[in-house]
Amino acid sequence: MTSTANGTVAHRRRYDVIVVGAGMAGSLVAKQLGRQGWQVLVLEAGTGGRETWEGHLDAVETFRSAVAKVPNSPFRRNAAAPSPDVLDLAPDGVGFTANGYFVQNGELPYGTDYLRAVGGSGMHWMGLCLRMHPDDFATQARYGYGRDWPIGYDDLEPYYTAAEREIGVAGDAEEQRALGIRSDPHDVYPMHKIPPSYVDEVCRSLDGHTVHDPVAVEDFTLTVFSVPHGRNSTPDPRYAGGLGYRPTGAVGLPNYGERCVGNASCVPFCPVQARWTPLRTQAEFADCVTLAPRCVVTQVINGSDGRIRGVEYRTYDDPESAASRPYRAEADVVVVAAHSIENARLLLASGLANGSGELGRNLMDHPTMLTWALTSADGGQIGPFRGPGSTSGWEAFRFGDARAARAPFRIEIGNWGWGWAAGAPMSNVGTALGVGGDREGNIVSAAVFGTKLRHTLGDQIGRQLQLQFAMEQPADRDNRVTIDDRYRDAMGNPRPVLTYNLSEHVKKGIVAAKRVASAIYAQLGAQEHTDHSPRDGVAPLGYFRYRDQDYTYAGAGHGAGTHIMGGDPTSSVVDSFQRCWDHPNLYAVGCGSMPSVGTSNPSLTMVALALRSAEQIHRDLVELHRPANLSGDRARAGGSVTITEVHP
Amino acid sequence: MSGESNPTDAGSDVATVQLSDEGRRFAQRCAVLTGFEPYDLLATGMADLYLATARNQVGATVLDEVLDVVDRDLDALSGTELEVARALTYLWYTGAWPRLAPEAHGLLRREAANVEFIVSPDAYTEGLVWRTFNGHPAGAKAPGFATWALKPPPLPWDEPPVPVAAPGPLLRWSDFPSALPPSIYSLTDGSPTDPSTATPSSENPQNSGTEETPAS
Repeated sequence: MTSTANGTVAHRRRYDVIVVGAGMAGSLVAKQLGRQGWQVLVLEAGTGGRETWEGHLDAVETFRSAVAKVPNSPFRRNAAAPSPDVLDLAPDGVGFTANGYFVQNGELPYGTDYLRAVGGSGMHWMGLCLRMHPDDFATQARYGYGRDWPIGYDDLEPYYTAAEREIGVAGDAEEQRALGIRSDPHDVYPMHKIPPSYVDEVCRSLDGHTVHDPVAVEDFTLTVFSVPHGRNSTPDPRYAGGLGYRPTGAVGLPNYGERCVGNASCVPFCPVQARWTPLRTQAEFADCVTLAPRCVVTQVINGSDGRIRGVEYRTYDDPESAASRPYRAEADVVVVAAHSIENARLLLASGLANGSGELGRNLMDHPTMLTWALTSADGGQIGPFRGPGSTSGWEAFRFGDARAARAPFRIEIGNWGWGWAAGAPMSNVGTALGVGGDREGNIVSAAVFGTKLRHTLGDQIGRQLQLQFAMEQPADRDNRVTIDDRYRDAMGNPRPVLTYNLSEHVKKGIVAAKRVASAIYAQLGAQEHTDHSPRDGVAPLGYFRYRDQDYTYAGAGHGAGTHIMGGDPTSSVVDSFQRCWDHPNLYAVGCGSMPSVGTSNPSLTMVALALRSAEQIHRDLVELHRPANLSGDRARAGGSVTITEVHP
Repeated sequence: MSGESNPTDAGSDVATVQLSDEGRRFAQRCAVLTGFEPYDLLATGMADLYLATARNQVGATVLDEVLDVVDRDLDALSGTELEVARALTYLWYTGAWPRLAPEAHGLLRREAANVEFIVSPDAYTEGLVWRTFNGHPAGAKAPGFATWALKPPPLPWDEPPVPVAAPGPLLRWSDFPSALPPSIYSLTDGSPTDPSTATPSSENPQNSGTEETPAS
């Protein structure tokens, strides 16, 4: 069972490690180091409570009460530690306005949110667990765009395996090997794959068909692949050399949530907790790990010789209020793991880790273009709004030389109808009824009620197909997080100021994806309804024109970059262990360290990187705690340590 | 109310067994707007709550006027009455009171903000829209592992109707807990619908049976 502490208990104490942020990365680092006996303090800005059954039910009810069931809808607003929300953005003629936590001054909107709460954005993630492809680590060397990693797939593979064990991933290793992603010919996932949906089967009818990509000028063969999930399925007895795997279910209620039951609400919330969250990791914290929610770290404190002494943080009682009290704790190692944008914001506010000038730069996401269609009435209902949000995809457009011509993209086959694109099925009801009036606000005269309404909705909603095209966005120094004294939150902490745009490479990927979508719908015999054009003079959010055509994209919730890793202190913020070049005992952990994001949902890679960092932090701490060798030059008292970076 | 084994719903209210007479009558009068049977509307357990919501939003007088027209002739609805009838239908379909046409909002001289809101967490899960395509509300009434892999059943109106006189073995009155008063299933008190057509939902009798079982 998870127990949390009040922030006051840590005041003026000294720890081996302070972790800032109790999300995926922070929780896993804390668990690993706690298991090795280190005294760990985890400071989380947001609130907790969802590790209890009552708190979980409160989130379920809050979600059900929300008109717009966006990723943060199950979670109560928090003025002391505000989170960005996708509803903060609104279209404004041809542009957009941002009326929330983020200040945005870029040409295009950054439509991605995250959650500041115990569990972090791991509370609302979809749970797709794709590894990055070996090619993804060196796009500059191979295809001439983006930035390369200082390490490769082979360095990360053991940590991917460990990450899949920590999360308990359900997948089909054979299918991933066919994509060239797993090297071990015998290993399997902890659990069998989540069964593909009937929607996937409809799409599978195109297996073997080819689609032309006019941007890359290349034909691609369609094959539907299942996607690995951080979601409980059926354990595979072959796992771990025949040891098998025992799924972990809900936190706070035993024997519950040990298998997905198809609530079809993974984002934002799994009512049975069959989808993995960091709460499961926290439930396994050793006693030497202290988790303190409602502690907003305001400053990372620099000591002598570039070494970090600890952190200042403020605790609050009432999330509605900014009233708070300052405290301070010290540690041998500080790990900021608070989301890429929060990490950048905190380090910028602390005036640290920016010798390269790259801190806050290279902000990334997976800009996602949505397309939607109605499948043929002859084929009958396809069963949308059932099962996890996506169980399969078309993967061919992620790989190969086409990447030099345009951004690669992954085609996610959506299981939830036009939910994301159009707010279905509620919007279908409103539209069919004509409720809300016309664009002048007048009452619409034509009306549909009764059996006709019911039958029309049933027929149309039941044939909704949505395809989501997630673009790789390469690192771009001009996409960045800054802070500005004029913009502060209620507690007085600087708010993130975002400057964001899409490059030509990404826009070309979107152009190609749009053509590919239309070709797929045509081959399926589906009637495409995709519409990215301005309506009534108002351009949709994420709208841009490219060669006289209209396009829109949405944020994927995959915030990355801002403290990217590299092999050179002059051009990167952290080394391959996510250790800040400028501060040997400061780690910046999370998607913020990724120099490129490929076309894989980034969480699994983040977890793999966090596990790798935890090992290095352990080595650092062992080195620090080694008995002083008074005859040598490595006296512990001075706190200076020689750490050798290894670049395989 | 997705089944007794789901603790997510433990402690849900027992509105289904505490329905007022006027709530029952309200559901019966709304049925024709929705295309569902009065049985289906009553079974949501939301009738009293929706009646109170509609009265709060547009006032009892306007609501009665609208329902009087609905009783007589749907085609006679116009202006604000039409918009209110739409709102009632939207409420049953989604569990949310919608934003009205600003024209209607003005004509009704409403003081409440003209914004959409979900009436209660349970109202969301009882929305009829999910049933139009044999679905379930996202985040509730989960149908079970791997059900999403199956070809969905045909829409109910494409199926042969279930015989009225002889409910199948999967749905017997004796299957229901005795706590449910028989009056819930009595549709004769002033219903605009001919009682002889008031069959237990013709779609998926198994599902209807479990949905009406109060959470234990």
